[in-house]
Amino acid sequence: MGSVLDELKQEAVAMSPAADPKPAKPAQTVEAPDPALSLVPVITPAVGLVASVITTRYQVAILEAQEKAALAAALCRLADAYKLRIQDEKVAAWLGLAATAGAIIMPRVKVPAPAAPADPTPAARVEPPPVAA
Amino acid sequence: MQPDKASVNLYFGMSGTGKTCAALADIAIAPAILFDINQQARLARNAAVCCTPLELIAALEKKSRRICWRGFEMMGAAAFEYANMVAWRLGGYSVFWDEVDMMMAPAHVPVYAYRIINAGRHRGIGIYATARRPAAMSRHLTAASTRALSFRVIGVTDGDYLRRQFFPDLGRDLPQLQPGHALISDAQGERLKKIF
Repeated sequence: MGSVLDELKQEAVAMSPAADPKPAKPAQTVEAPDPALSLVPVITPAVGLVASVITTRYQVAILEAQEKAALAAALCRLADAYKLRIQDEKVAAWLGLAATAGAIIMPRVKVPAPAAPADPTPAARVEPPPVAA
Repeated sequence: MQPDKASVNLYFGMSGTGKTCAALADIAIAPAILFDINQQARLARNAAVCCTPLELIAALEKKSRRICWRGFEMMGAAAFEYANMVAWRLGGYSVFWDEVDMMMAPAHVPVYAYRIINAGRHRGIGIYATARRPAAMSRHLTAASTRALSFRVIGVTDGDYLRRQFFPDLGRDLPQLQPGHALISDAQGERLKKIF
């Protein structure tokens, strides 16, 4: 029995974690997603919203979809370069929703045209047409 | 009458009927390794609690008569076979397999468990196994049983199995057994007995 116990003890020692010469693998760190990406769902609809506001308010030509996309991409790169962040994904999602809704609703809202500036020249008298004798 | 220490004793019954208590009472003072998969306090009472292989070997070196083996958390399913291997190679220690249907599939028996079931008595290794689901037990184990004790069982599948395998005469009374009463089937035949 003594020899059997000795064998079992040696095997148990070999099985124990302390006997493992291999170093423990470092814990794998999961890269956190780039927070700057959270601006993308905000910037794109915001560009659409701003374009809608300008078009409606100032009666300028509506931006094409490709133009809006190009503007949005440029703004995203700018945000990435300056490392602009929205830490909370939920906040980013709500802002994106607000911007998208605004871009949809704004063109449907009738904005009164701005009042024409006053003309400094006196109004011309309109002569009545000559009456035939 | 106490069971033969090197026999195969099975205990069945619903949860809380007293299977574990009956098995521990039958083990009495015989040297035994208790496979505590559920970490029950009553199995650790007056026992050397071992959670690692080194602790188990150390308890055996000290000749502890009752060893509570809780290596399942560290070793997982391999803890069952490891302790069986130790019991087989050492001899002289009975094994208590609590909730054995959780540790062995009906059709697959690990190597050392198989050896203990078939030839453990030659090494002084008795088996005390409890199960809530007799129909889910290993057929090797039930076929090798020398004594079966069942408390109340109401499941249809389990009741039918117990009637066919162990209690052909009294098995119909299984769902109506009173608390503390059990059917026993061994070399002397079937009988109803008040255990507690």
